[in-house]
Amino acid sequence: MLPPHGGRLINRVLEGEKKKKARTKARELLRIELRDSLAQDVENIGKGVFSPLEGFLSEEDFQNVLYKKRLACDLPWTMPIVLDVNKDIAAQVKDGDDLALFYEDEPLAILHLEQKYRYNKGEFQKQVFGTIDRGHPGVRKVEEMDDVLLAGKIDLIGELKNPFFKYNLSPIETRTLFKEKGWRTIVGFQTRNVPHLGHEYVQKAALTFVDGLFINPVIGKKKAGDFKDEVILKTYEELMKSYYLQERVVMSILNFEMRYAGPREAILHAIMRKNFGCTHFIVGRDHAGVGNYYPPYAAQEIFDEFPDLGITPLCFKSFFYCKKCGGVVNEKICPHDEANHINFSGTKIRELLIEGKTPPQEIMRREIAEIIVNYKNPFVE
Amino acid sequence: MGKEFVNISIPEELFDRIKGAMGSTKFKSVDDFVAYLLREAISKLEAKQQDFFTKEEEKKAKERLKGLGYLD
Repeated sequence: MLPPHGGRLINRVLEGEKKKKARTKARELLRIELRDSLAQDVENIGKGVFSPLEGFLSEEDFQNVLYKKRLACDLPWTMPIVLDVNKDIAAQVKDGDDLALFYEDEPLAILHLEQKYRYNKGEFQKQVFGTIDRGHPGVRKVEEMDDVLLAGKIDLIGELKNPFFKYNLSPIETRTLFKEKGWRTIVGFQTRNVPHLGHEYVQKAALTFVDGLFINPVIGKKKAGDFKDEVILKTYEELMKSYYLQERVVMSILNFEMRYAGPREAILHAIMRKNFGCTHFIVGRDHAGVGNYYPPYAAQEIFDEFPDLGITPLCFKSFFYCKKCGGVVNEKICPHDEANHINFSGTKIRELLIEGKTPPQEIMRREIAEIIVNYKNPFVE
Repeated sequence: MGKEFVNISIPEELFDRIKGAMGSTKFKSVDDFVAYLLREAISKLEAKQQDFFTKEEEKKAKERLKGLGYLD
């Protein structure tokens, strides 16, 4: 099986007596309240999703990530994973302190503080998002961040509440599962959406060349109008049951807040899937993009910069249904005129579903559409 | 920021060969091209590594996977 990023799967989850003691100790330490995305980051560090990170980035790593897209040890890493605090908290802590990271009034982790440092928000935005335009959601997020970053290893002493228990597998668990299934090559598919036929086409095209498919929906905070997490999972359950070989597919969730950093984020997405045990990762058009901030295939081209990433991107062009071909195709293989094409427009599909109409079967499986239409309110409000 | 550079000696003929091959790539300097090639080579060696977690961790993972119905 492919090694995790950096060669070692990080596991900073405390258990048993150690966990009990640490939770008691956490209540006596200086407390830092985490917002949703930071809590998710903490859990992802602790469970090895962000291997080789054992904690939040040091200043040296942060600067390297910004300007070289690599950690200080030379490993590819494109997104800063950082913990920001305000000046008041920063003034109360010093290197070597243990701090309690709380989420929703419960201790989630202990941070062993190694360093505190200031950073330049403009440089963060420019390097990571390629823009300082406040219309970009990632840029706005950085703008709202506090001024000081804390670095250090964490120990995970709690777990985020999650209604999708069955689908919440850690990298150790997915790797063990893939091994038990005898899979040697696995393709990862990231999604934030209900499946239409285009997704199915891409997944099956990729699966043709590997042993297994790992469907990995991103769960967590979403925008109004997005499909609810439970709807995404229910529709995928149906798709897997009716249209996939059970022994060839596994679904598990990823608790992660999108940064919309386009190409840079695509690399992080691939690294996370590598840690889950994937050998290949599907990268579509405008992967992790937003608006028109990134060229359509920038998230595919960036992979050329990382010969040592250790996971192979499978890059797909735009796909559509062609009436003449009689199936889902892409611009590389369909010779027919655009007039014959039906595009998989997420906005159009959403509009139809809001009106209670099922999208045409060339676009979406009837079983999938029915689940959504029959759902009381399938969209985030 | 990060570590600085070190010098590595390679035969002059090899240097010329690399320089010649570089023309068909997007690289502008032999240093960058060689760093790219070395990273590619080292990642292939690293990919051969095994045992990424302990037997105890694997046992625990199997138990949970059984409990969730993924394994018999």
